[in-house]
Amino acid sequence: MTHAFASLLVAGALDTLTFWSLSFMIAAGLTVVFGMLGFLNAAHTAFYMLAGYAAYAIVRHTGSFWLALALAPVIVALIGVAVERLLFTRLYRASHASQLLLTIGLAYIIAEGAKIIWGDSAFTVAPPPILAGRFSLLGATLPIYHLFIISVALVLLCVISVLLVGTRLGMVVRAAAVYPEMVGALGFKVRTIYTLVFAVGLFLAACAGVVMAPLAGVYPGMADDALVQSFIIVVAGGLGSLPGAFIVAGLLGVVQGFGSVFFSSYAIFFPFIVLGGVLLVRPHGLFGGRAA
Amino acid sequence: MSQTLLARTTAADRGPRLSSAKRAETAATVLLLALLIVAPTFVSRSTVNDLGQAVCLGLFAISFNLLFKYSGLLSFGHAAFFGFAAYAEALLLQSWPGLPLPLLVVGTVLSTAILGLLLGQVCVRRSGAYFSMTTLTIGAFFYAVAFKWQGVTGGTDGLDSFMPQNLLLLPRWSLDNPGTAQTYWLILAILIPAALAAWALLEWTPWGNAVVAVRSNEKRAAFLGYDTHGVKLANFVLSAALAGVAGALWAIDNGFVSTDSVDLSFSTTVIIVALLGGSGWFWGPMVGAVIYIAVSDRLSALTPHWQIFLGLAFVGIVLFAPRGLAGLVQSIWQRVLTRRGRQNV
Amino acid sequence: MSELPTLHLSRIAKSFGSGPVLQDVNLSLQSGERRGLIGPNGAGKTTLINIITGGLAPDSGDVFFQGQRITGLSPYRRNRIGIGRSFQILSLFGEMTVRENLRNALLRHRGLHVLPWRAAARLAPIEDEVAQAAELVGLGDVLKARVDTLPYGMQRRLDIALVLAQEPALVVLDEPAAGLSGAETRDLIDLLQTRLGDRTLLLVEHDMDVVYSLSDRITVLDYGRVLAEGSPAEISANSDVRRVYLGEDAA
Repeated sequence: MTHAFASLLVAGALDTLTFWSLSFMIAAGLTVVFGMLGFLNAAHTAFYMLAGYAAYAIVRHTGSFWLALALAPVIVALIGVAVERLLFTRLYRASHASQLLLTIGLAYIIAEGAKIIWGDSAFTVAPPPILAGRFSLLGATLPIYHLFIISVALVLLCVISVLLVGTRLGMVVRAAAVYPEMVGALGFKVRTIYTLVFAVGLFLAACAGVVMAPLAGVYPGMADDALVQSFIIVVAGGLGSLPGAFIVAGLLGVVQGFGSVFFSSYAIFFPFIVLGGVLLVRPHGLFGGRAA
Repeated sequence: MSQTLLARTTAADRGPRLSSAKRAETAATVLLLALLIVAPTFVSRSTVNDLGQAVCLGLFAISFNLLFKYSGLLSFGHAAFFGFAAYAEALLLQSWPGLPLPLLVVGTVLSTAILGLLLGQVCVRRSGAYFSMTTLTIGAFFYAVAFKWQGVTGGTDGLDSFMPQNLLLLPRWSLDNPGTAQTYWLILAILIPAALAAWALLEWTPWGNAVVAVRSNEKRAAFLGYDTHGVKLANFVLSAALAGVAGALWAIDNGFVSTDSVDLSFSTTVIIVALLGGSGWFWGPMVGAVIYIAVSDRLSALTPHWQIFLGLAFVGIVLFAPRGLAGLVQSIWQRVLTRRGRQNV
Repeated sequence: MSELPTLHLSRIAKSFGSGPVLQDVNLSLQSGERRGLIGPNGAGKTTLINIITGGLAPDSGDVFFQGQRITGLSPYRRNRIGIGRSFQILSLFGEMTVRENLRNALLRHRGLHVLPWRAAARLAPIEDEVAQAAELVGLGDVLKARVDTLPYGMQRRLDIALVLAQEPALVVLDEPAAGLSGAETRDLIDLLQTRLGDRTLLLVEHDMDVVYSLSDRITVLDYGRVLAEGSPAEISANSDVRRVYLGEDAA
């Protein structure tokens, strides 16, 4: 194996992990909320975009990326909770058509609102100096920031897993996903649990929006780009399946990470290739039941 | 909510005699089409141009609503068919500039229908959210193709300077001046028969019954002997073909094709157009298109951020007027009727 | 001359995640026979019905209809060769009228549902048939009523009318008396006794009055196996059946 090839592989692997982290953070909330509530939120990635813009605004005013990372996801999750309480709860029993139409409308409003406040142009956000550099591995010089994104995703996933598995609240949440009536009958407020899950999903997507800002910038079309990608992850993974979403996000990461090295001009088609491939093998998605 | 949004598509009970609702619907249809036909004689030329856009958008919205109203399927990627037809027509004309107009339209629509048959096999297998997400993904894929395959589609620049020259029966007519009443009427001459055929098929024939039965209760329909997959697929193909007619006519009317016609936001625009007019009436989307073009023209002159009103319209319609304008008119009309009935008593 | 059985099940087995639901089930219905299928809850009756009418594929074994192997055939194809079924949990065209419901059944039955034009000459007889089909089950006065506004008993009768309207050779009824009052149940028995004619019937029912009034023979299913089969009198006398089934009822 030549040295140049090895460094290409390393670069591809890092891109894969970065992409995997980001796309899973974005899609996780979408698929979990769908699985639990049967609610498909087409405005999900609009919140992700909103977090990007919020991070941009915070960095511009305070100069601190860390403050943005701490604040923006919380703000976005709170806005999301308000929207969920005011609008979405009315539609939990409605048809998917109504849900999609309402949330698409909301996505329009958020997107145009962002344009009104921040204009049509794209912004770049500088990563904090400590993360701005590069490091060497097997002959490849790689951005430290990618490592940071991967570790943020890992930390968040670990925290959420520990909360889900190790705490009483996590136990109730897991039970509510499968037996909502039973959990309700046991005296827990299922509504509150739903809101909590919804908020955590948005929080994850918002974190992705913030860490994405120094990587790809903040721009008006970022919600749409992420929406198509998230839908692909959710469909190919099987509606509502978190492990499915995790694996498909990984596949997308591999295709994106290594594909971009070799066929960069066709990168736009990669997600469709993954979706087509998965659905050929498993027509109902990786973890999709026949009935779903 | 699902019941009201999908409206009551089983137009009142069709007994041996026509119900009054059915008669009112037919009268409204005739009135709407007549208005569309005579409109150019008393509006300005720029309005005629807008009207040409509106009827093509209207037919596109009708094709979307064919799936939504009659099969309960919400497509989020319908622009794939519209855009495919527009590009296909442009490419056909570039290869054979002398192709007669009827042949051109038939060729375009046929190829779009075949595309619909291929994609429908995949899409129609699942309903609900899955259908919407699959169609959205297909829409995104077609946009990516139009955007990337520059050698054929011209990328973001699109394709222009194609115009059917051979109008066969109308040797002295010309399509070279978009926005004229001539162009508009020529478009209507193809558009209205196509739409009327679809209307008649779904509202007046047993086939329409079958489509609605499958939507109403797919399980029972299957156990009564309906090939539910086949019925939905056939309706999907018809919808794609009608979107193809709309795309083909739109390309003729505009004289150029760009990625705008396969854009994802175009797929959502057509949804709002259909819902605005009212998805419960076959022709509602056509009314919605005329209103949409008129209002968006004025709004976009007012503010560059007029699309925020689109979002508000989505939210407002879902929450407050799930049956659109046609639904509002219908309920007001019914209120008037009952009041008059009470006075007569 | 021995006629082919209308329905013949051969060694049907089916398991779900939780374990076997049906094991080695054999069943044969002669033409014109009326068979009751009973068994405690969870015995596998509804699963068996779904395997017969096409909603479900067995893990092993075969289904024959009039000598033709139909295992794996989709529900609509089975309907078209003459199998009609009703549903334990009502499944009607709820937001349509009674007339439209019956029309859905009859248009399909006469093969007119694909007509791309309105052939008045061919459709007019359908309207008469619709009216007759409604009359047969006593729904002649509510043709124009929306089905989901009708009382439950009437919806039950419409369910059966949809099946009978298509004149199937084999009628499969899944708990037709579920949720009916005593008077309504007696009406249902009358209705079926007069309207079934020479059709073959497979009847799943918990109400023993209905089963005993309508069945020539009875099959008892228990834990996914055929426990007993015989005339109503034989079944009543069968000690196994008394133990696992009637015994519990009598207690």
